[in-house]
Amino acid sequence: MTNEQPPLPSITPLYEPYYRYTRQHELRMQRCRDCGHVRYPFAALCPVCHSEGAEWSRMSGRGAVASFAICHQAFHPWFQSRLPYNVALVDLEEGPRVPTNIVGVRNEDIRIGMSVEAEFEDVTDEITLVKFRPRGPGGKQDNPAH
Amino acid sequence: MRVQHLRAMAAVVGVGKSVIGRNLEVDALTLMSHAFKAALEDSGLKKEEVDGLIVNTGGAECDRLPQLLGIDVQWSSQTWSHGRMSGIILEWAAMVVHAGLARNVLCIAGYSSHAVRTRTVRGGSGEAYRAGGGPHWEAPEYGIIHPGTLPALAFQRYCHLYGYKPELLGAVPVAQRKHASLNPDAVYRQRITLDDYKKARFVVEPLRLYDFAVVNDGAVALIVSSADRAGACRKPPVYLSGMQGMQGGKEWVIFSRSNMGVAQQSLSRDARRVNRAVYEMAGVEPKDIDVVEIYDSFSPEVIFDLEDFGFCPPGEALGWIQGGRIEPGGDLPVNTHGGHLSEGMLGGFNHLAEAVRQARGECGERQAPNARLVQYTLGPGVSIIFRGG
Repeated sequence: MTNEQPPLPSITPLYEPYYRYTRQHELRMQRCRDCGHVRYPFAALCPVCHSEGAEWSRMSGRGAVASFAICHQAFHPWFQSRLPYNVALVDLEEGPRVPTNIVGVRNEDIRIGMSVEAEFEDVTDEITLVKFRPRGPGGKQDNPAH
Repeated sequence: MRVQHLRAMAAVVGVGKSVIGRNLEVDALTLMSHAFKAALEDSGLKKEEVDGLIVNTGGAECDRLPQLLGIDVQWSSQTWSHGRMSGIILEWAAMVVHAGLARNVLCIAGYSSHAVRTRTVRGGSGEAYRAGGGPHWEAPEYGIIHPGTLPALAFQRYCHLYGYKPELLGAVPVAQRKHASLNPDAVYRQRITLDDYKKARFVVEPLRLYDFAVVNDGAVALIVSSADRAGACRKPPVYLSGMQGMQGGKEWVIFSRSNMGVAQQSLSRDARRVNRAVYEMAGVEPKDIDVVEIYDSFSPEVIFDLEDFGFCPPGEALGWIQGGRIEPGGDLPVNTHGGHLSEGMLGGFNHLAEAVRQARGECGERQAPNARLVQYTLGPGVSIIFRGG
């Protein structure tokens, strides 16, 4: 099992620019050229105004934990030696709510509303994942909006 | 949208189930054949009178199944192999018989663990690894692989927003196991206590072992006929009094609800789905419903649906269900067969079968008293109100 590879995302044409930027340690998402809406999941059309024009706009990387859960059972061999691990949803300042992991904090100290910032984890030469770390001293700058 | 003219246009006239069990080593087609034969006998129809077919599960194609079952169909179709299709299949059948495209439509689903094992990719569903993410918003690269991770995330947020201790969720599996203890078909019939629940291991915290559906084999068949023909069948017809289709949109996330799931954006984060169409069509209100069968692959779905379908105000269901309210003899019995958590996972088809049987009053020990209006609900807005004759 020690040679087991982590599960990796399939890169579709819609997602190729996202991963191209994360390789450079930049978090970018599609921003509508017409109405400014930030699209997630990535799509051919803006769900608000149906514009097809979008630019890969750089995100602040700041957000807040919307929810989290702790996995105590591995459903892929890669995670067997990593139990228990956390999974989370983070609300980016720009709007999208993305799936991720929270790093740099013990699972029992993760809180909904916790302010976090993006961190880049190079998994392979091709794939860099965006994870989030508590922001500020001890991650105590909670977002009261949550 | 007002569709009262479709009220009770069709009825379920036959219900049948195969044996339900874990690792039966029987293929799904065999189980489906048994379910069909039972449903046919229940209806009193001859097999030659079944002229429509909708198949829920893959591996049993809608052009092959008629050969195996010995029926000639003039209208057939098939859906993706997901339980979320269960309710709309019945609704679709109702519309088909109402339109006159077929007279008696067989709706059928069958599951076998053999098929599950062969489609599994290294643990969890192979579907989780499809390009662009899994069908329940799985993201394997972050370890979001089991579909139960999604309701765990939603339920954690629910508890945060409304100030609950997550362990209160135990009231759902405890109640359903109590129902299942009265159901000879159920895979798990041993009653459990809240203490047993709290001692069970976490799978995806805050969800514990008892919050997850059974993985099992089995099949269910239902036969739908137009209301004007239904009276000639063996048993009293159970009418589809109201129905509401599957919803989709920016706030729709499977196993979750508004503002609690993956990928929702701030556009309408406080929006709340309003599930009124099913009641308007049936001409009833939530307070009139005698029994509810809720699609429950994971316990939180029961909480979410009780709120989304107006049985409780938002944020109150987890408190409201405490103290036996959804148990046998409670104010609102929920999942009287034990649901996916205890009777077995048959993609909601077992809920539909139970709804019909409760509305007929033929459920024996587990029969809810005076059950005339029985409602089926499924997270993405799907609902049917069944009315006994």
